[in-house]
Amino acid sequence: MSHPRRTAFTLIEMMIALSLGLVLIFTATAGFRVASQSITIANRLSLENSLMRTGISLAHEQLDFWTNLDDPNASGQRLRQTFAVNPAGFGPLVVGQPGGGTVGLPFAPLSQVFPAGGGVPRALAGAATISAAPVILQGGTTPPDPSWEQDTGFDPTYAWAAHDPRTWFRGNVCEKLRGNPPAVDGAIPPLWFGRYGIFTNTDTNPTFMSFANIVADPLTTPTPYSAGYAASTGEFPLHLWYGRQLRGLSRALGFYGMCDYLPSNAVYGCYGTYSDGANTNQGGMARVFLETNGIFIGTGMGPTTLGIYAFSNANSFGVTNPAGRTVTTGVLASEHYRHWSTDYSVVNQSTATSALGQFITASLPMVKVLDQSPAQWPVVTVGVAHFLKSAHFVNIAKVRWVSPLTGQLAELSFTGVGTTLRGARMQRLHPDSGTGWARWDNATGAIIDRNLDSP
Amino acid sequence: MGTPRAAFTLFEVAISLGLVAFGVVSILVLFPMGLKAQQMSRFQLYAAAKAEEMVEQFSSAHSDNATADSEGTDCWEAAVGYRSQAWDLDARISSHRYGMMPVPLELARRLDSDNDEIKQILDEGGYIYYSQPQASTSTEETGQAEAPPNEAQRLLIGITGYAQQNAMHGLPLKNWPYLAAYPSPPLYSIHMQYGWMPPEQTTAGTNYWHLYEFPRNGAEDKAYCWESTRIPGAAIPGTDPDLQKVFDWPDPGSGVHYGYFPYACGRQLDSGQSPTPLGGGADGDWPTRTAAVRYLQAALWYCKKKGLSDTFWNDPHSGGIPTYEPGTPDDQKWKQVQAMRFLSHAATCLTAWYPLDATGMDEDLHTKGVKVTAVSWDGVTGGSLAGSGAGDPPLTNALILYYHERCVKLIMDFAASFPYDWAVPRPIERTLMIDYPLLQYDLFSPALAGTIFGSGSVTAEQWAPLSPRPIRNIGVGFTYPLNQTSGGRNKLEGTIQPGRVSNLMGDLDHYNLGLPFAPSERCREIVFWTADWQSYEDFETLPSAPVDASRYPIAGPRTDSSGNFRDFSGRMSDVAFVDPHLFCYRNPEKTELWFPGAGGVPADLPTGTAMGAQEVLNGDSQDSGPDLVHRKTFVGLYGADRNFNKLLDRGPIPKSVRLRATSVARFNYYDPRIPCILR
Repeated sequence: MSHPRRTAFTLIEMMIALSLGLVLIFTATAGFRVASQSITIANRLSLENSLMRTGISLAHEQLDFWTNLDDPNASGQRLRQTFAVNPAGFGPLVVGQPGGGTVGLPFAPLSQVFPAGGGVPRALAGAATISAAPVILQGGTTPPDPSWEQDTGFDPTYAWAAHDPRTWFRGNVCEKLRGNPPAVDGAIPPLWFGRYGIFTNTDTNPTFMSFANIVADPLTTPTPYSAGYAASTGEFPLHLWYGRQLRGLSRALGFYGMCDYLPSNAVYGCYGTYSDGANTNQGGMARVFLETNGIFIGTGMGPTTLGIYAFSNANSFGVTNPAGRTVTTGVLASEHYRHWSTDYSVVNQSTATSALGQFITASLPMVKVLDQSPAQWPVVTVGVAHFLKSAHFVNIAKVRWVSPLTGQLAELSFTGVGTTLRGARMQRLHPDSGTGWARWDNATGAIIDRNLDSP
Repeated sequence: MGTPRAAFTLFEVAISLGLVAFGVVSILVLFPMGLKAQQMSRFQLYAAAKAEEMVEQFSSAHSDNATADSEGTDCWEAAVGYRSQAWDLDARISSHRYGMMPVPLELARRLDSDNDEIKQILDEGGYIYYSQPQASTSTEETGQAEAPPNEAQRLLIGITGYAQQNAMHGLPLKNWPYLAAYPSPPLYSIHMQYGWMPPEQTTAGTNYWHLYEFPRNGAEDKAYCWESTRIPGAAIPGTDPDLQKVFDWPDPGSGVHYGYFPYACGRQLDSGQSPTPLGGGADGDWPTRTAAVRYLQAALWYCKKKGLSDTFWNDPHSGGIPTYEPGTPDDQKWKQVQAMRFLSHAATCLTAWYPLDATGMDEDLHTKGVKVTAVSWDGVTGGSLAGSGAGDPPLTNALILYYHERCVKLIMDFAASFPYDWAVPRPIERTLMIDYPLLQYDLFSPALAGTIFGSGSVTAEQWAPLSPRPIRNIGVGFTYPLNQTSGGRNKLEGTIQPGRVSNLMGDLDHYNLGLPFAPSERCREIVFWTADWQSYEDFETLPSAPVDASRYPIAGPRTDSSGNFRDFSGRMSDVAFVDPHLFCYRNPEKTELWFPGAGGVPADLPTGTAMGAQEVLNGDSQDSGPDLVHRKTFVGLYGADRNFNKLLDRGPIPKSVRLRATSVARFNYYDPRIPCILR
């Protein structure tokens, strides 16, 4: 007996086949689902990474070229402003030597705010040794050399040579001022150790205050001479250049600009006829920087001459950014002629805590990388700020992105290597030469355009 | 014989379907690889930014530790000689101010990596670091906003390769350069009377010196002119006992004090004046015109004592300012630098007391001049400006201007010409790179050995320092001016000559800091991994990684206010933990460290607890002090706010799970051989 021939799958076979098929379908479905999600996430990550790369690239461009603070291809850049000494909201910056009645912001052309007064270049003539340096007494009854000590303005071709006697600070670095005259118990009158203003000054014919106003000591025997160190006798200070460079740069570019331009070993102090409410023309203790007045005050320890570390130990100076803010010229100016508490004082001083917050707000506005983009794209913003803290020229960059879908915020912040303010200014054409970037190269015969530092 | 097959068998179909399924699934699982690639790309961006920040911080941020003692009685007694001050990236920027914190060791041990690289670093005593969420700006963390979520914290950082021998941070026995203003009086400092000073001699005589209190300051603040240190029976190259007469010297005949200190600190030392305190308080006294003149007389005596001729001080040199007197040997030039430094400072003081040009007065500084007579001490009659004739003019403004110019010119020339002659301090008015000596440890001479001060008999060793050329006139240190070996010799003894060692310095032949090297000899790597280490349940409650003991800012040997020598425990409490000044000391996680609060220790608190009030941040007291809780906080036993959100966080991953750290990026670098700050 023979069985009939099979013409179809058996039930068992069908069940097995269906099971295999279902397994395959489920596997494929799951796989496709995972793949789909992966592709979605990968695309989102790719988009975010692209935007982040763009943000980081933009941050580095700003670190290198300071374009967030000054667009050389634009016009009317706010940080190139120069202004008279008393704009609204800005304290009384009294006119004095040098710089006339104009002060500037960090991208102001130096030819407008600190114009060259003497021959250019003004490199020291003579051998490059100290012993051969022409230290000649041209103070006293002889005016300082007009082509050397009396030079004003910034010379971009000249580095402060260590053997140039003009670069040696001549003020009192020994003592510090503790109180102003008339002297009271415990205060150290500024003239105890002499009138260093006769050695270095910003004024050609300084007038020093009389003794009677300084030493209020009833037991001093003999009684102090009630006479000043008068200029009527025709005595000139020995040196003018150093103080004028400090004062001129501070008035031309603000405090951060001055620190950026001076050598790292500069001593911050000068003598002259200023009007900051104290007797700054007495010639004893130099003055250090005082906000709004553009003259000097010590940080923490009482007024004394300081180097850059002590100068910026408890306070910072920075370049603030008008972008995204409604800020008047006066306020913008005052932000560049003040210090900001960014150190230990914030622990105990509520106002100082807010000062750090104000400083961050003013100096680090976050700007969108893309002005327009699809709504579902992450919003990436970038900010770069420059400030001085504990002798460190900090270039801080922030790249921040926010998901429009979840609202989640993330941020990458780092301090970067970047161009100095001086370097950034040399990248820009002088306004008299148009707008845009300046060409510069140190190769022989290279074209060097007139830039913001050019006389 | 069967019918020929007309279709696949079930078995064949099943195999085929299986193969197809395998193929499809294999392709599908490749899609997440793209996801991983994007994630890797992101972390490579983070790593590049962090590497840039690390190098930027290392090369351009100052790391002054102004509060810590920089000098000790031996090389192992001063923190500047420790590992925490070494000039290598690993040690230098692992600091709360520079944003590199060691991952807790227990957590780091849970991480696997390719070739067990993390394990190898840990086994060799190194650290794996994480980054603070915000950029390192040196501003106070207290004032900063809380950090937004930051994936970059998943980065883990390691340094491979070994630190090389680089320049020393400073000479622990004399943290040269000593900087002084020019002009200035002799260097003096606040000292308590203790065993590292010569015996005080309060009566006029050869060895006179007196420990005077400053006006307005407490009993511990006393002035000692250490630059003039005289060790009876032993001459120390670079010390000059004659300076005491410029600083403070009682005239043996009259008892009146001459010099800078009697002038600057008033009539307390001036028997010719009333000692009555002025101004209604007892805070000191005023200087006087006559005391200013006596300071100048002492400075003129010093000029004569140093063998200088009258033209050094009585000729205004209107034709130009010279540097040294003609024919002066190099090893004698320091005398002129010192003489003009004091002469200029003293003479300038008179501009506070005499008018430039006043009619009807006997003296002025313009035409009439101020008469300054000579004083005679130790058989030497000092210089004078007595106005007795052409060779003895009175002091005038022209002379004062000349003194100042020559003073500054002399020191600028001296500083530039003799970087290893330490007879005079370097000028603060124009500090140059060459003012900083290039010192290294001599690894090939016998090490210095002794005991740790205040510890009893705990022994210590340190390599001998080494300079590139002999140090001339090494002098004394201002903190421990009298610092002798048990044999009575001064420990601060300069390099002698190649092939020999001194009490302190190694063999000149071994100096190699200036030798050229190939990058491959010194190359190290910054390695970045990524791992979600903040997902561990205990990532914020684990103790800090072990803190290098050299990060404790211990004070140098000293006495207490009663004159008793401090023991080691006392030294540990003698340094103020001033946050802005202690960059490289303290626990690198210091600002994030937690301490117990009212609710108890952090580990016992519920997840999500607000911890802002239990975080050290920029405080100076929570991690210092005699109590055990302070020391536990110092070493980080209570954990830390490692994502800086001021909350106590716990992740979902149990600590029994091991995580794999994926390698992200590697950067080659090598440490500089000498300290330098770049912009």
